[in-house]
Amino acid sequence: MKSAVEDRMAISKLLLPVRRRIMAQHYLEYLLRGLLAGLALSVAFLIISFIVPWLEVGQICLQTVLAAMLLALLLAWGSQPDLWQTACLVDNRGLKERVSTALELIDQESAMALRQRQDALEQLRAYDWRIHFPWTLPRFETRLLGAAILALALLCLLPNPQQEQIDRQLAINQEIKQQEKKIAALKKELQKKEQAVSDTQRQEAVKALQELQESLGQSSGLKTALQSLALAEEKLAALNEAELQRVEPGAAKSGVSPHDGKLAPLNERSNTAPKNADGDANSEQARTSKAAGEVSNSGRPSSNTQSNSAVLADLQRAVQGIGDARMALLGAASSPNAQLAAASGGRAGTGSDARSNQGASDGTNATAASGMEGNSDSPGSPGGSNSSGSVAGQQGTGNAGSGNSGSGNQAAGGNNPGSGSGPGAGQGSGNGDGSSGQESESTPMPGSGFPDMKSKAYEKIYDPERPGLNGESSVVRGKAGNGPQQNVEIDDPALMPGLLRPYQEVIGRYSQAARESLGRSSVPAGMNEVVKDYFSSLEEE
Amino acid sequence: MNIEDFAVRVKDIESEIARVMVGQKEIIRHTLICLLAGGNVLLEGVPGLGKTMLVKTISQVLSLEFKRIQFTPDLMPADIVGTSIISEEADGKRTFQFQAGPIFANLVLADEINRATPKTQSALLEAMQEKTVTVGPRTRELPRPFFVLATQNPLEMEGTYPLPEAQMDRFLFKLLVRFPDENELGSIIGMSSTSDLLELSKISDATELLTMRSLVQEVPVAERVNRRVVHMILASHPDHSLAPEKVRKYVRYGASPRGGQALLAGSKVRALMEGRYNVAFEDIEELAYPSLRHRILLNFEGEAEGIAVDDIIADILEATANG
Repeated sequence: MKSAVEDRMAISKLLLPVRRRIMAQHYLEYLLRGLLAGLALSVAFLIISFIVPWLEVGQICLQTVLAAMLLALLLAWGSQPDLWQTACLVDNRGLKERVSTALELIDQESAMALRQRQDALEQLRAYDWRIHFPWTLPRFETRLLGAAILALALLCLLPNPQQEQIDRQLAINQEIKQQEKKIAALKKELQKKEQAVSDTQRQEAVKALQELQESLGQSSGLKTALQSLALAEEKLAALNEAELQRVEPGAAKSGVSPHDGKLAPLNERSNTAPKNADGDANSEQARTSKAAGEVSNSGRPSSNTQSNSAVLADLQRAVQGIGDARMALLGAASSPNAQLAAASGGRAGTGSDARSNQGASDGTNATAASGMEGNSDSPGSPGGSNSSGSVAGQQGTGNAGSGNSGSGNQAAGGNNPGSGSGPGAGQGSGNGDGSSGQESESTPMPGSGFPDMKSKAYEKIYDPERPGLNGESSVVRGKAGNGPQQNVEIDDPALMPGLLRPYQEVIGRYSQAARESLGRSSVPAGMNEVVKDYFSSLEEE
Repeated sequence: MNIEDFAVRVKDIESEIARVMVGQKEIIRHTLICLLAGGNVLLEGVPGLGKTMLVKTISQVLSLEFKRIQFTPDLMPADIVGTSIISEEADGKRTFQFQAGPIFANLVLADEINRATPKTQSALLEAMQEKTVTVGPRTRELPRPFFVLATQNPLEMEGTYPLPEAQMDRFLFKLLVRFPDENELGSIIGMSSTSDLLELSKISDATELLTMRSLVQEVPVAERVNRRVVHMILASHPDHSLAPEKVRKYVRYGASPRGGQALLAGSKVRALMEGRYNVAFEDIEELAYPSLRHRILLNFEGEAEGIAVDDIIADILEATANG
């Protein structure tokens, strides 16, 4: 029995170097197969990326190759030959079943069995495993590997027809991340406020921002990001409305614009307040402006009112921050198409027209330009605003009333209150009709640009493109007016929704719009140089 | 006899036989393997290839008693096994006395065995399998070692009685004696006149032969080698899942378990002859042909298309190569 144990140990010891070589060869073959599988998948991915735009396909290919090799290593580890298999392999390559028979009959003590073990050990000692187990590459796998590398190199060298789309998507993603950070900061700031706003409302606002932040984090494209922004903006606007009504319950009923009092409507404020790309800076300026307006107009500030106003300012600032985020996203997509405009939906229209003066968006501008205009004539008060509605090719504009003219544009987008500012004393109001292909009318209304929610002076429309709400009926702020109508036909197919437009074709117009905005002082004085520098750099490119 | 001496002794025997038998090394080797494994050989070949010479030479080299039986259609079983005859003793008393037939020898050459009637052929069955002969009420042991070497002519089929499957199965090997090549033929023609005069050395004897047989039986067989043999036997049956395409198409009956035993027995001898103390796959692969070719029966389609059983065996070996 002792000899059997010794013989077994001796056989194991003699098989050790052979086993190492066999294992190395085994791992090599599995790694080759893993590499081959990874490269084959990478080639497939690259081919797909030539057909449809695929962001970060290179990184995915790299990860695929690494994962395939890791899997191959795991499989190799799971199937690595043990002592018995090594003995069988050695037998197959020269030792003619000597070792496996010896191992199998290790317990037998007959003369023949002992002689057989002795013979096996002698043969194993004389066995040159380097000759019998040379390093070899599997021929079939090696050929396939060469073909895969060749195909991969070819695909890497060939220009990707989807590269333009990929670059644009990368820019959008980068912008989404930035805006996500900004929204997070905004949310944090709003949470810190301890003002006379109901907890429920504050929580709702924070919740809306939280959802927005999460959805931005999960959004994979411009469309989803814009949808998230639009929904959050809508929620915040609704909160703003509720807060506004709570603060000034009689204002709407008496027909006096809240603008006359202490609170400027949301979007009016967003236009009148100095604008800044950064939401926080903008917020501060808006608050300052707001506070000044309260003192000068009413002359009866109260602590309660001030706190309510501050809440409103916060909410408005949040909305404006979202609007800025959307514009930044649209700016990142240098050539947005109708799909993007559709994604922005009615809410996107809000900022689109107002911000088209800043040259932010081409596609939405095109949308605003196409359609009809409605003009209204109505006496108004100084600081009156004009609103226009614009969705899917319609625009309603309201002009100032008698005496002084107020000018301003506000895209209502079907849902959003328009706002504008002008030096005139008159007050005009217009309500856009968001229905595609319908007339836009405006009636004399208080110049807030907000819909008359209390008198239910709004229409319901069906908007299949409305993001996130599955196209159910939604409220369109404003009411059809009696102003003159004008039909505009678009001859330029490039303006049609759904078409991509080259960067060079729109940059000039954007620059021009930016300069005009600078002239109209809708851009804060401190930001003039920034805007100029930005467009100058674009033109240089 | 030592284990180590086995290979040496067999080599000596082979060399001594080769002095008379020119060429036919494989036939000599396989015949010796069969003899050492305790089996019988069916030699198939045209006349004049030295089949009788081979058996005579083996008997001389091994110091064994040799008898030759020429099978003819009128040969009777009693002509082979012997018979009881009435003999008169000195006192006038008559008794039956057994007169042993030519089968009572160590080496029996059954020449042209397929010319005898099945009845006579069957007289060999008991002798080949049991190494005994029963005549009347008494069963008699045949001398040990007992070895039958039968020959048959594949060309002349008229007036012959093909061996039944049961009898074919008794032969350990079926060897095909090929025609010698040019050089071998030249040597054969040159020495034919002097071969009878050649004095052969007695390398071994019956006792040593039996010792060698007992040694052979101790040769270990690894489980995976044994499994290969099992798979081969199973694969020779057309209705088995291991059967290759040719077997399914052209085989009527596959090899019997006795075929597997024959294969392993012969492989053990071959292993020792090679100086190895275990059966290897190469033993199996070499001896699969002589041990299975007469046990695999072709169907009508196989016979009609002239399929060689050796090709089918090659397919079986290939099909079972990976376990």
